Amino acid sequence: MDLYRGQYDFKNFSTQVHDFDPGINPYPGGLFWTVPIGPQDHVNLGRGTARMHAANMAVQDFFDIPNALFRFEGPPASVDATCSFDIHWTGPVTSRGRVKTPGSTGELVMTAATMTWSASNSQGFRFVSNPSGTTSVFAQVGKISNGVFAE
Amino acid sequence: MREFDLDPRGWDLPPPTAAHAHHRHSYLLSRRRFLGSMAGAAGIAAGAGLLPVSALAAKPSNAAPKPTAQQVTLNGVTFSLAFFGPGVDPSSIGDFNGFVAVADVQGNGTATNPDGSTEPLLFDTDMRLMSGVYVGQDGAVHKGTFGFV
Repeated sequence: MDLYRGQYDFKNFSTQVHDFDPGINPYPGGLFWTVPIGPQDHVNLGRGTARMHAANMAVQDFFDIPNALFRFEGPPASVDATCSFDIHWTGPVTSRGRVKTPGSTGELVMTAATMTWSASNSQGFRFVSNPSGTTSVFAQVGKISNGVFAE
Repeated sequence: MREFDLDPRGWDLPPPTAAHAHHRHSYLLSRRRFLGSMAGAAGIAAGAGLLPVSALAAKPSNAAPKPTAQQVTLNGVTFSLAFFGPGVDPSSIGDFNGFVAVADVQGNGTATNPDGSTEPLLFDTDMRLMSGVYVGQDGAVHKGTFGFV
């Protein structure tokens, strides 16, 4: 979850001020920004719906994507943080397709999503998203088999 | 499939420290662009996802999932990272069988700084859900739900 001041800068990252993620464990080749979460609502491929939510999840604030990847700022490279979020995949389904990634099989369904979230870090920074006016840039649900399950 | 921009020449961020000199040409990426595309990027190699039997025979001591077999090498650093996009397996977990969901959402909100001042900020997210069964690092099949945050 990334925060920018004034405008997005996806090339130079001059406007990015916070990056909340759970890290890469172990660094650098391990699980990438992935952590267990509690049980979630079922994904419905027919309707293109799903929900993912969490409260007070422990993450780190790396401040920007490059530092989250290469950890060259600081020390410290990051500070403790927590986040809460609620994401709804709402449909409607706009297209369906098969998975084409080598070593994987399955079906993917294009849909739409909305999200509300908040985060804070140990330095006293807090952020609360505005629930209105979010843009679903890319949203997808699917059923996947990879690795040994795709054989 | 979105643009993949890995040109470091315009970066304004400070260079890596000497201790991390091997990262000095670090590619700076937006999460949205970096994770949202795999088209035409030099230095990227996607793994096939098939694990050798020996990998399953070795039994580490925990049930944590294994990372995806898809890999991305940036400036000599290799990450176990799955992209997302039409037709692309977005799971960050390898040896996985289950449901996935991906949300790249943008919006705005209000930040409160440590000095008490407030300001509007823009957000950009790449959030993913993975729920199903997987072969853990202990070699056993487990059921679980994971978030890519």
